[in-house]
Amino acid sequence: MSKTKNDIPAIEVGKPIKVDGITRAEVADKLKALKEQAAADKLKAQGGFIEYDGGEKFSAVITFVKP
Amino acid sequence: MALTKIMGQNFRAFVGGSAVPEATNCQVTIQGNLEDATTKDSTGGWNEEQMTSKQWSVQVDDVDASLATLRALITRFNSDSKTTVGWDQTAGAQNREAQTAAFARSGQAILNDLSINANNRTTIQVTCQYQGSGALA
Repeated sequence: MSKTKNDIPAIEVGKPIKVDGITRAEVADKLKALKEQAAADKLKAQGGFIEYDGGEKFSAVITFVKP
Repeated sequence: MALTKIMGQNFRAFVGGSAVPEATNCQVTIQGNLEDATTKDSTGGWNEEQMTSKQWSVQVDDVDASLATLRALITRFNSDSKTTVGWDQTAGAQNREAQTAAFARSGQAILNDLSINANNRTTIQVTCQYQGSGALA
């Protein structure tokens, strides 16, 4: 999957995107960047819940779909 | 200025990264276990306490009562396996889009309580409780 200069995966409509990080805030920032990118294309988000693995990693899976 | 309040329907439990579908209620419990730390240095007749451990759990009522869900829940219960459980504010389609609210948290948890209530001529009601195992972050 291609990535932008800020290490944010490129959005492909209907395809789940996984983002991760070592803090909740880091993952939240990546999700925010994705949502802003999607909003420009008028896409709707599904999911996006930040999961904690109990160790040192946070992750989220978000999917963008056409409304 | 009025404080912004969170409506109950927008506070949802998430299991395995997804909002629990069709649930009517969820309850989050975070508890600390205390130990009496009172010494002769304590003044004023008041006890002093210190936190010795913490625990958390998430209960979800009236989850989707389909055959597939019930089978999956029983399988999960029997497996003793941990899964990611947490909560967040929601919006969007079917009110399932996580909003990464400041109060959202998650961690690993075990399905330790599964109740099935089957009244005559009504859909069964399934309640699940996930007991946190390890940190909530």
